[in-house]
Amino acid sequence: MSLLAQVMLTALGLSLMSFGGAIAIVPELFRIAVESRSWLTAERFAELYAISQAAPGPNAMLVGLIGWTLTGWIGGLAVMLAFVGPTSVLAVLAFRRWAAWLPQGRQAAIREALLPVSVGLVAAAGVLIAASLGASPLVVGVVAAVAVLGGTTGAHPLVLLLGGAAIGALAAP
Amino acid sequence: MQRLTPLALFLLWMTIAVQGFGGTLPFARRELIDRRRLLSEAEFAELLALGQILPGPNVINLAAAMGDRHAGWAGAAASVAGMVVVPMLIAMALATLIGAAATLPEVRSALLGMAAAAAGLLIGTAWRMAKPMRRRAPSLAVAAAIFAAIAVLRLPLALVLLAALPVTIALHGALRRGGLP
Repeated sequence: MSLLAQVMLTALGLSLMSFGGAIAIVPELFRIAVESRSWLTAERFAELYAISQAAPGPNAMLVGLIGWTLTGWIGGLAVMLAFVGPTSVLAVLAFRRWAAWLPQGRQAAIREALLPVSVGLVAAAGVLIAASLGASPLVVGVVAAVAVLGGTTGAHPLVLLLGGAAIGALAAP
Repeated sequence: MQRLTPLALFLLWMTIAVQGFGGTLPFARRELIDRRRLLSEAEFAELLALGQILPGPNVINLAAAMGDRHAGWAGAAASVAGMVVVPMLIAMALATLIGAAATLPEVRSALLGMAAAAAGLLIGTAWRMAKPMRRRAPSLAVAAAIFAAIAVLRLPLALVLLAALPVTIALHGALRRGGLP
């Protein structure tokens, strides 16, 4: 199977497991792409994640950027479509049929049950990406400062990302 | 209802997506409810609520459902394409530019700082998301177990979800009459 087909299949499988948003699959994507298939290094993975967050658009674009880095521009688009296509079909069917017989109260209860799953996965994604960057004072300081600022103030994510980049540039060897 | 064509849907969602620095949801809300009056506050909340239960990016699920209501499958496809095609081209162009500049040590170090900030943002986001459940012991136990299974034990997500989804649904009484106790 060609590399593009492998990455598209991986994206498709991941999309069906992305309960609670696209960020929930970041740890699994790391496990597959970095640890089991060795498609890219942990550091490259973290870089692409940062770029996906600095660019405008849905925060699922890490998947497409991994497709791009492995197979080029067309591959990037194809992998992204493999990630959003099947779940969109599911969403259309679900809204046509289930919206009517899944009452709002029940939907709220299911969301409450899914929330701790998302929280655990998002925290795991943060720790895995931080750990892949090494334990230099720059990395530890920026991770801790942004975690506290992002978690407790309404600071805009883009401001924090650019702040991290500026501190990195100033700390260049 | 004013029915939009697939082309209009593509342009609408593209406009929302390219403004969406740091998340597209606030921009979708402003464009669809305040500026274009395509959805009421209640309709938007209803679409988003089901979109959050389904697998897939939440706002893209919302785009698919909204597109379907206007123009069927073609509308859904146009809306989803509007959400991802142009932002993906921008992201790939940005990654190309950064890659070309990454021979400079300053750029490499800036990229490291930005990746560290992105990791910090995820940790801060987890803390904010946890706000409604910080005093709920069963929820905290589920979140801690998921974190340990994924970040420490490095287990495959499919296995973890197969084990965790029935447990969390039972613990939260999501299938009982009336939901949470």
